[in-house]
Formats: sequence, C-alpha cells, structure tokens
Amino acid sequence: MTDAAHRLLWTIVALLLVAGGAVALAIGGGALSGGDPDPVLLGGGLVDAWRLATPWSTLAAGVAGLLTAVAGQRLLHRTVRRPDRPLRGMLSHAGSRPGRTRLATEVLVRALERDLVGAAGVHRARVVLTGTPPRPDVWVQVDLTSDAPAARVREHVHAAVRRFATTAGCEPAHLDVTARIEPTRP
Amino acid sequence: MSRHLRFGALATSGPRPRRREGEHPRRPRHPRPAGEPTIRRRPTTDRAGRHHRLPLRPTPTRATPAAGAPPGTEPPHRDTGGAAAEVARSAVVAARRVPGICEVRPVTVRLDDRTVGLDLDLITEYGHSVPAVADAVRRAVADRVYADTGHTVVAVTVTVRDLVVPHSDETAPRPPIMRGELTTATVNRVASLLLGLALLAGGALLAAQALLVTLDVPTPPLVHPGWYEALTSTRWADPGVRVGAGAAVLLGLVVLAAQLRRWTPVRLRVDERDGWHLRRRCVERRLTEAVDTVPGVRRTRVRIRRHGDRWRPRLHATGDPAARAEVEFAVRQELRRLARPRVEGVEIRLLPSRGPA
Repeated sequence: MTDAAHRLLWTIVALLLVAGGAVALAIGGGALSGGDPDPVLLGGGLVDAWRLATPWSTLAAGVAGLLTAVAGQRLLHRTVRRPDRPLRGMLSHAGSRPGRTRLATEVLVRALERDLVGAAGVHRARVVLTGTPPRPDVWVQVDLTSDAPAARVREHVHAAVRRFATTAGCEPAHLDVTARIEPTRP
Repeated sequence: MSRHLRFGALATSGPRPRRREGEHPRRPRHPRPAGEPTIRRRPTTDRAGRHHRLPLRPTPTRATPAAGAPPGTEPPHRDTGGAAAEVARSAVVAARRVPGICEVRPVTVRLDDRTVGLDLDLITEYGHSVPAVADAVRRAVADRVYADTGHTVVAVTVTVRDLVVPHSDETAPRPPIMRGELTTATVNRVASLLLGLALLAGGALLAAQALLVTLDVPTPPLVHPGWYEALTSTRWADPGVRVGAGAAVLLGLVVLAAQLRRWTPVRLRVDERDGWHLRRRCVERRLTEAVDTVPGVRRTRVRIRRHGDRWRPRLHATGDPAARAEVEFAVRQELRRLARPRVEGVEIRLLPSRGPA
C-alpha cells in the first residue's frame, strides 16, 4: 500500500470515529432516542429481531466475522508487502544468432554501484531496480561527503546511469536519486 | 525465472578508451589454452569475497547418434574430450578478440558429428553494450570454430558473470546509512498493521462463535460471559458511555487533522527533470552550520518546507537583527553550493540576545 492509500484509509477511519461518537453522544443526550427516554445499548427491539431471524441472524454474524477476518488479512498483507518489488534474477535475451545472452540483475546493479562510488565525494551508494526489464525504474541512494562538489556529483551520477543504460541496452523509465550529505567534521 | 531484456545498440562511447589487448589487469598477456588440465587459473573473487565457481575446463557431453541412424546403434568411437577441448580453445581465442571482453571461460561444449553448441561465461567491461558484445562473440566464435575444427556452431549461450568497472576497485560499495525517521507515513503503516491484526482476530472470533452457536455446540469461554447482560443493562446516557463517545470523537478529530495537514517532507526535490533529491534534515543541518558561522549569531534552528517545487527555508536564531543580510547571504550561498534549488524566500527571525553578545 502506498502512503496515499494509508492516508485515505485513516481519513475514513477518523470520519467513522467522529460520526460514531457523535451519534452515541446524541443518543445519550436524548436527541435520537426514538421515543425511549432512557434507552439501553442493546434495546429490546433489536434482541427480538435477532431471535426472530434465528438461525439466519447467527449465520449472518458468522459471514460478517469471516468477511472482517479476510479484510484484516488483506490489510496485513498489503501493509507488509512493499509496493514496488525489486527486479531480481537472470535477465535473458535471444541474440540475433542462435543462443541466449544471460545477465544477472545483481551483477548489473553492483556494477552501477561501483561506478557511482568512483566519483569524488560519493561515499556510499545503493541501487534498486523495479518495474519491467525493458524500461526499469532506477532508484539510487548516495551518501556524499561533506565537501562533495554537488554539481559535479550530479553530472557523474547521470553519466553513470547513461553507462548503465548502454551496458544493459535498456532505457530507464524513471530515475530517482536521493542524496544524503554527511555532516561537517569539526 | 528469466525475464526478457530489451537490448540497445552498440555503445558509441564508453567511460574511457578501451585498453589495448594484453593491457587489462584481468586479462592474461598470453592466451591460455582453455581446457588444458595442467594450467590452473588464479580464481577471481566476486564482490562478497567468494571465488567465482567457474569450471577450469569445459564439460564435453556425449555425442548423440546421427539423424537417420538405426535405433540402438552407437556412434563411432572418437576422441570427444580432445575435440571438445579444441573447440573450446578456438572459441576462447575468438571471443577474446572481441572489444569489451575481459575474460572468457568455456563451460560446456555439446559436440555432435558436425555441429557444436557452446556455453560461455564472460566478464565484460562496463560501458560496452552487453547484447552487442554477446552477438559479436557468437559471430567470432562461429567463424573461428568452423575454420579451426570444421564444426558448425549451432548455438552459443553467453552468461555474463561480472562487469569490470574502469577506475573502480572491485570491492562492493557499502550501502548508505539508513536512519529511520518518525513521520506520519510511518505511524500510518504501524497503525494499519495493528488495525489489520485486530480485524483478523476479531473477525475470526466472531465467525467461530457464530458457527458454534448455529451448530448448537457449547461455546468455549472466549468472550466474557457477562457481555449480554452488560449490553442490555448499560444505558446510552451512562457517564462511561458518554466519556467513551467523547473520546472517540476527539480521537477521530486528531487523526483527521494528522491526515489532512501538510506532511513534513523527508526529502526535497532539487530538479524535477533529473529526479534528484536531497534529504531534508541534511539540508537543514548544513544551513544551520552555515548560519552559525556568521559572527554574533547562535542557537540557529532551520526548517525547510516545500511549496510545489520551491523550497521555503525558515530560520530562527539568536543574534543581532542587523546581521540579517549576512545571514541571508550565508543561507543562499550554502543553498547554491548544495543544489541550486528554486527558493521561494528565506524567512529569517533574529531575536536579540538578552546578555552581551
């Protein structure tokens, strides 16, 4: 689930909380009592309706419980799972002559990381590929030293990504670079 | 599972001019005859320090009966190992001549009467198009093997085991330090996890209870037995119920406000075109350090917020209000040095110190 989806979910939960609390306060204040001056939480009418509908009411409760459990399981699964799975495994391509060319994505990713840290000022680097192989999304994280020349590092990162595209023969659909600058040493 | 990669054209420009043959540190000066059992290669190591598990000699496979031969007849006796080694040797010599190749190792030679299939492991130079290099290897190997041995190469499977990056050491770079930041997004994820667990447990409990009641089976005491009496005797006007309802309204309003307010960005976009971002806290720290260098200014606090693609630095410090121009100059200079972002305006609040500066 994305951050936006979580945000929407909790906005709905918040609205339900406000609405439920407001209705409870209104009933307690006598505004929505429906003729009963001092109603109980589980009124006689509701209990009678439940008994009249037996055994269907119990079955309906069972189905509702099952649906709730399934909803909880789906929510857990989507929360734990990352929205973009990294590309892993062996990339394969049929050449113009008989035979295949095989290249592990890990080899490609590690090569780009080594190329990135080759620039002055880049201390650490991490690369993740997501999406589909012909047009992957390239996610780069770099740690820069405090005295790193920012403009030159940017040029180097983009040159490294161009070399990566040439080597793999693919065109990144999306490039995202996050840089962290280390604090100045006293 | 294999995925298909779209390959592009041959690289027009690599990271630097290619070395002449024999100059590369990974490439032996003299071609070694592959498959020669007396020659032992120095094993190369991968980035984790493990040795590449490449066989020292090709694996010849048994020759299959020729097409049209009667079933059960064996192929005529021939020196399959020697022929495979000869084919492998020719393939390696041919492949090494292809630009961008650093190392070649034959893995398998599938030999038939007149045809041969090869599996080759390569180490190529980063910056050269892998598909183009592999195609060139196939072409060169097929021509050379046919010329040397008379066998027709029907397939060459190329596996690129490693990429040599020029001007870099072969050790794996360390990953960036990940410092978790408590943001609303993180809180939302944890809350969703707890909500999912609660729904799963509550729903399963309700379904189990309902099923047992429907089947007229005595239910285990999973739920407090007094719940029915409590629900039929508690009134909406009771103080406990009203407090609970009020708490629910309050909690809902707090959660709503947290979701609807503008979130503090974890990172700041420098330029939309190249996807470059800087961690917000790093930028704030750098600006704080820059402002603290202005004489007479101390206890600086910098906050940066985003307005579209523009940054809005807000600065609170203690010092002489007359130093405002110097502070703004220091902030803008540091921002230019960092990233040249589009800055909407620098909000500076300089509070005069009570004591002598």
